[in-house]
Amino acid sequence: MKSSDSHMGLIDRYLSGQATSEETAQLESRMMEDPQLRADFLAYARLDVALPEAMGGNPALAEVQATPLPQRSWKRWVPTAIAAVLMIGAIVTNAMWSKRGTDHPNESLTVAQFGELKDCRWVVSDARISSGDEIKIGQRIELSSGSAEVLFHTGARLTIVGPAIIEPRSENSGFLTLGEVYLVAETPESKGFTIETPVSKFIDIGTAFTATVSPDGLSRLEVSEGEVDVVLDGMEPKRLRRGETIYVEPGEQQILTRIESGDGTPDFRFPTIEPPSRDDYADQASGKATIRVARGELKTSPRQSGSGPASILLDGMGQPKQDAPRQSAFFQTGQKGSFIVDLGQSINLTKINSYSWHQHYLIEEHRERAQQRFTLYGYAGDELPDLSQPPNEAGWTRLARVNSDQFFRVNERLDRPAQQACSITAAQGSLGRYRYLLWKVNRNTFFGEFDVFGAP
Amino acid sequence: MDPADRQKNDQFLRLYVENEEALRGFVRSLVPTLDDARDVMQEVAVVLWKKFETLDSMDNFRRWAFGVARFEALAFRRDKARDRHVFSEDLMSLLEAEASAQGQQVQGEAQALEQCLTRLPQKQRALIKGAYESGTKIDEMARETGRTPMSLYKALHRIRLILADCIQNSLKQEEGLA
Repeated sequence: MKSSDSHMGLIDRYLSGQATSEETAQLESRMMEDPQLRADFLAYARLDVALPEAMGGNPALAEVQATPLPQRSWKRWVPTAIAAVLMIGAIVTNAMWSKRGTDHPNESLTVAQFGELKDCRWVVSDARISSGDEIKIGQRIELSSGSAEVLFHTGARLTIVGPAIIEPRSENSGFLTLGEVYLVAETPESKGFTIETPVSKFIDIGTAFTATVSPDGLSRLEVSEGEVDVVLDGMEPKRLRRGETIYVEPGEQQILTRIESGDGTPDFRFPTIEPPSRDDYADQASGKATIRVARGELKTSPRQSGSGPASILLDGMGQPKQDAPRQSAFFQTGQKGSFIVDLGQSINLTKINSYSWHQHYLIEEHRERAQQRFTLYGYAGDELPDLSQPPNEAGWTRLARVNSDQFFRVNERLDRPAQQACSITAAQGSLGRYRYLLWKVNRNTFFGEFDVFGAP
Repeated sequence: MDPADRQKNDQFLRLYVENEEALRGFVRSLVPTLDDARDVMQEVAVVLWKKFETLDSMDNFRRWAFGVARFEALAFRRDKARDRHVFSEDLMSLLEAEASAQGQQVQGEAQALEQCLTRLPQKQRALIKGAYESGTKIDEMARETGRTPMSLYKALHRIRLILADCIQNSLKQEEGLA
C-alpha cells in the first residue's frame, strides 16, 4: 500500500466499524483529494470482502487431512439470508480455487468422476473436461449448458443440467448453488446423500430426487422415488415421499410452499394439506377479517358463468362441483387482479392455504382455471400502502411465489390437476406478523377458498 | 426451463461472475461492515437478475451493475445505517467511477490472495481465519486469545496490510512476466 500508515489505519478503523464521525470525515476529506488513497481504500475493501471466501474455499487453509473436509455449515448461510444469486458471488474466487486445485492434487480427496457428458459448455470456456475425469471435494462444477453426469464413489449418480453450479462437499454430499440436479442413490453406501442449497438441505432416504435452485434463490425439491428429508434451520426434518414437491423461499423466514392435487370431490381431500377450513382466523364466521378486490375486476355475467363475490373465499368451503363459477372468485378473462385480506390487526401468521377447482363438464382437458399462479405479500402497518404502486416498491413483503403449472411440470393440459391446494408455511413456524395479505393473481383461476391461520 | 431462459441465465451468469469480485469490493467500500456488504450484495444480485432483461447492451453490464450497486448501498444507508458513519454521495460517485474502471486490475486478486495466505506464518493465518469465520465477535475472540480487543484489531490490520502488499506485489510480478 502506498498510502501512509496513519491513513491505512483510518481505513481499517472505518471498515471495522470503529471509526468515529470525526475520523470518517477526516478519511473522506483525504480521499476526496488523494486518488492513491482511494485506490488503496478500494483494494483494502476488496481484500476484506474476499477473505471470508478465501478462508472457506481454500482447501489449504481448511486444514485438509486424509479425511474429507468438514462440511461448511449450511446453517451459516441461513441467518444472513444469502440467496442463491449471491452465492454466485462465490463463483469467481472458487472457480479460481477450483482451477488451481489441480495444482495441488493432494489437498483434497477425490470423491467422484465425470460420467456421460452431453453437449456440455462450461462457465470457464477453456475448461477441458472429459468423461472419467476425477472430481475432488470442493471442486466447483460450473456448467453453462448441456448435462453432465457425476458418479460418486459411493454409487450416488448425479445428473447436472446446465446452467448449474455444484460442488461436492464430502464423499456423499454436494452444495447446489444454482440450477438443477437429479440424484439417484441406489447403493447402500449412497444412502443419506445430501444436497445442500443456500436455504435448505435435502437428504436422500430412498432413491431419487430432483433439486433445483433458481437464480433468485428459490429452492425446489421433487421426490421421484423413495423418500427425502428436507432439513431447515430450527425445524424438525420434513419427510417428503414419492411424488411430493416442496419449494423453499430464500430469506430468514424460510418459507415453504407445498402444492398438492386433490381427490376431485367436494370434500377437497389432499395428501397432506387439510381441506378448506371454517376454523381459520380469516373465516367469515369469526367476523375478524374482510376481503376485497384490490386491482382488476371479477368476471361479471348475466348468466351463471360469472364469478361469485370475493367474500366467497372466506366462507370456509371450496366449490361444490368441478365447474362452479358462482361459488368461485375469478377475474375477467385475460385480466390479472389482486385480492386483499384485512385481518383487522397485525397477527402472527402460521399458515396460508388456497384452494382451486375447475374442470369443464364435457371437455376433460379444459382445466385452465385450476392453475394457481400468484404472488403473496404481507403488510404489517395499519394504513394500507398505495395500491397503484408495485407491491415491492410500496412496502409489501413478499411471502411466496406460486406457480402450480411449473410445480406440476404441466406440458399437456391433462397434466394439470383440476383440483389444487397450496399451503404456505415457514420452517420456523411463523410467516411473520401482518395485518394485510395481498394475492397478486396472474391467471383467471377459479379460487374457492383462502384460509389464513394465526393468532394476534 | 426453455432455451431462451437458459440462454439468459447463461449470459447473466457469465457477466455476473466476471464482475462480481469488483462489485463486492466496491459495495464493501460503501457500507460499514462485512455483514452489511453481504446484505447489499444480495440485493444487488437480485436486482441485476430481475432487471437483466432491460439492459440494452451487454457491453454496458459493468457500468450498469456498478450503478445498481451504488444505488443499493445508498438505499441500505437510507434504510438501515442512518446512525452509522458513512461517506457523502460525492465520494461515493468518485469511488464508483474508479472501481468500475479498474476492470482487469482486479482480476487475479483472489488467486494472489490464496497464494499470499499460504505464505503467512501459521499463527497469523490462524488469527485471520478465526476473525473471518462466520459469527466471530472480536471481543470474544480477544478474550479467548488473551488479548485486548484493540490489540487484536491492530494485529488483524497488520496482517491485512501484509496481505494487501503481497497481493499487489504478486500482481506486479505477473504483469512483469506477461
